[in-house]
Amino acid sequence: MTALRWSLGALLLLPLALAGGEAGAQELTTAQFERRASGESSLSVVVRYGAGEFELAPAASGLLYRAVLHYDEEDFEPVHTFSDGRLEVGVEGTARSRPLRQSGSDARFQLRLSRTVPQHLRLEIGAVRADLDLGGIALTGMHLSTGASETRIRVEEPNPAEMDQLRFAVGAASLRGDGLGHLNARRIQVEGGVGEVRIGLEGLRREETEVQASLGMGALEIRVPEGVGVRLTRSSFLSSLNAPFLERRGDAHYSDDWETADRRVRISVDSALGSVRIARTDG
Amino acid sequence: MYEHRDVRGLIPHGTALVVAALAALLLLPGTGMAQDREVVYNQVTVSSQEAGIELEFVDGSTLAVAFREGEVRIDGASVGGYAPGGALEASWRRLLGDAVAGDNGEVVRLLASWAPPEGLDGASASAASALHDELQRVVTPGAPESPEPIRMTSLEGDEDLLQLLLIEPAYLRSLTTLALDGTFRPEHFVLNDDLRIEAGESLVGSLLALDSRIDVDGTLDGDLVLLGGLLRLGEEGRITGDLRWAEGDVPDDRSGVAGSANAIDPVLGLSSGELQDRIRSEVRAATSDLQRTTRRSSRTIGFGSGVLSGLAGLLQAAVTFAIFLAVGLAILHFFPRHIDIVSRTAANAPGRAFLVGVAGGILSMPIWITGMIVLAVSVIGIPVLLLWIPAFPIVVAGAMILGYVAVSRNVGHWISHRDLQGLDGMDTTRPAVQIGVGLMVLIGAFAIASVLQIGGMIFSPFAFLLNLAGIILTVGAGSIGLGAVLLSRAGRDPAFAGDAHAFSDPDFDPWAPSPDPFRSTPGGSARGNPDPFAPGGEDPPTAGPEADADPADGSDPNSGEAPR
Repeated sequence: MTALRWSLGALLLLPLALAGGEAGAQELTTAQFERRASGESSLSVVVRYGAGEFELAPAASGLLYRAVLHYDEEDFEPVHTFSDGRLEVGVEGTARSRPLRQSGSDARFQLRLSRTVPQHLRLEIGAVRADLDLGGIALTGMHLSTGASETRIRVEEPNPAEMDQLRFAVGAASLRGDGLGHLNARRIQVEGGVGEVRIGLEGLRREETEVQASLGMGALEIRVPEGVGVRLTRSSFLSSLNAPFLERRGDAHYSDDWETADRRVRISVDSALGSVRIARTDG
Repeated sequence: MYEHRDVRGLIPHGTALVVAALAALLLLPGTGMAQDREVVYNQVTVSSQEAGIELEFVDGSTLAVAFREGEVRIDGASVGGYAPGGALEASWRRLLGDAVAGDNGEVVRLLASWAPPEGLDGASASAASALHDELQRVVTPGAPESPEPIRMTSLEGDEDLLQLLLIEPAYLRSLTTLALDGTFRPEHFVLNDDLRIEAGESLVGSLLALDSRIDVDGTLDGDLVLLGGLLRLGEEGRITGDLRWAEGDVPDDRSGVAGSANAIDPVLGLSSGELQDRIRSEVRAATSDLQRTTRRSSRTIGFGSGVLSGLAGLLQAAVTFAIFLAVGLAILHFFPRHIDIVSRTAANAPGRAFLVGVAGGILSMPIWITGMIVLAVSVIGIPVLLLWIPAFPIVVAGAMILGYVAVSRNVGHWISHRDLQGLDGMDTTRPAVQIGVGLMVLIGAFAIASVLQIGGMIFSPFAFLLNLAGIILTVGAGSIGLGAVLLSRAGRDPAFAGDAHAFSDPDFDPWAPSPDPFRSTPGGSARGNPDPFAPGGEDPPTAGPEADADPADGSDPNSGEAPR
């Protein structure tokens, strides 16, 4: 769009100038919600966050959760409810919200979750730059729904719990996940609109894992650890496949260790336009 | 130097001063204090208007403290006032800031250790006192526990200890290290003495020995800290805890120590200048680490910047389209005849308009500067100069916008004659629709390029080509438009506009459907009023500069105006 800016620059100068400049300095409000664990057997966590930076990591010992929000009180107000093992936390816009560019740029949200209490995590985030460190958090399920975001997921410690489904629904976003095998998920589901999705299954320890990915337009990369058998089925309209270690047999592609591997991944990809890459990785 | 004593002769005795000194050194704040009440939930809010905290204790009771609008409120009731921005508010906000900055649920400890700042007066002092009392009452109920009495095995007197600590600052620094470490709890203390634990005997509890000789043939059931002096560990001697020493002699064979055996690394005794230098260097190092971390973080998470920039580009294209459409509709509404003539001029003489537009664009800056110079040197022109400086660029920009919109209309008109899906539901005979469709085409290349940019590197070549096409289209349309505006004198002169135009009727409604804005109207001239975009045989024989309407006699064939 640099081209458009330059070619129309002279014409746009006046109306853009009239459109007004940046807002004044933000006055951020800080809110902290912290609860100690007191015998909870499970926790359902719902996070709603529209704009800003979001960080998720394990909590210190003894804490059930800790949420620290830095937000512009002119445009947002915090949301926090906890009852019957269900936590809902985040911020929501007020009626007088200004454009995102002016109000959400410095907002931050730090969330810490217990390592010991099994929990189902649902993240609904919008124009957010997210950094999720899920290592060691006991997760029984996770659903990440993002809009136009940049999301980075890191898992460096095994999930103490067993996860049924790990689901990503990304709109026009970039999603990168490393070490998702540590999450011990039976099924990983990725639904992408437009963008870039790169997930690595490092730390995989289940015998059978299912990965379902559908992407409208963009790049999809799935990294599978060495020693894990891979079976790939693909449905595409105009997308390329780069999987040098897979061999086509019938309707599917197989790795040469598919029959002998003690851990297997079944990958199903539905891609309309873009590129699909299946690669090997360590771990 | 050492006076031998048998363990059976251990008699706890000492003085209050030594007890107090050692308690202060060896017992960290909090370790000997009352057990804090367990808080199951806390909520901190810090804004420009308020600084407050809400606590929920394990027994279900609650406490809420808020600094708001100059009042200190505890559980909703005012206990006094505070000066906004004053010492009390600053201290309270600092406390809450520390609570939020910490990552380990230390709110209660912070509240328990909070003390009001000194020098408060009036309402602030009473509010601070009430708050402090309430925090002490609620957060730390009960009096502080007395430290465990330290049993001293030998002590010559207060002066000996103080003198020794003063003479041997390494001992004091070692004690400080132990205090900071917080794990050593001495129950026995030996100073400048000789202590023997015979085989078969046990001494239960940790032992602190200063300048003493310790012989262990039995069992010391605890830790041993040796500052100066000597330790002898017999073959059957056992120390069940840790051994730590400074400035003392300890045996090389420490197999009888069940725990760890380490020399104490005393805290440094630095001058204030050295301390400042050390703090500076550590802050620099920490800042450098933070910067590196930030850079690394931004690198790792920046892999998808194409998405955001692509979306931003898409949004920018949409905003550009909306602005130009609004401007175009405004021009169409207020100056329908002018935009029609400019459109016709651009359509009938595109080559000439392009050349004139390029020349006009290039010459606009010299003309502006020349005008400024001429007006400045002619003293009488100085008042006009003040108008010339801002007005000329605005006029040029306005001319470019008018021309661009007019060409957009031509493009839209051309598109409307194509049999394209998606236009079925639009009345493309309306000039407003034509402008919208034309703008979509002209700006659409940039929008599509942005969409491809979202798709990643694989689409980069296509995005580049589309951007290039967009630039060519924009520059071409802008130049033709500017030239058409100049040729038609901002739409007032139809000399190059081809045939008579539809707006000869003063009651013409610019928003009403128009069969063809480039088609001849009744009473048109002998030139046949060609539509340069009409399909089939209606296309003009030529569309280049050579076909421009430029009557040989210089007259305007459409308007009948006199030759210029």
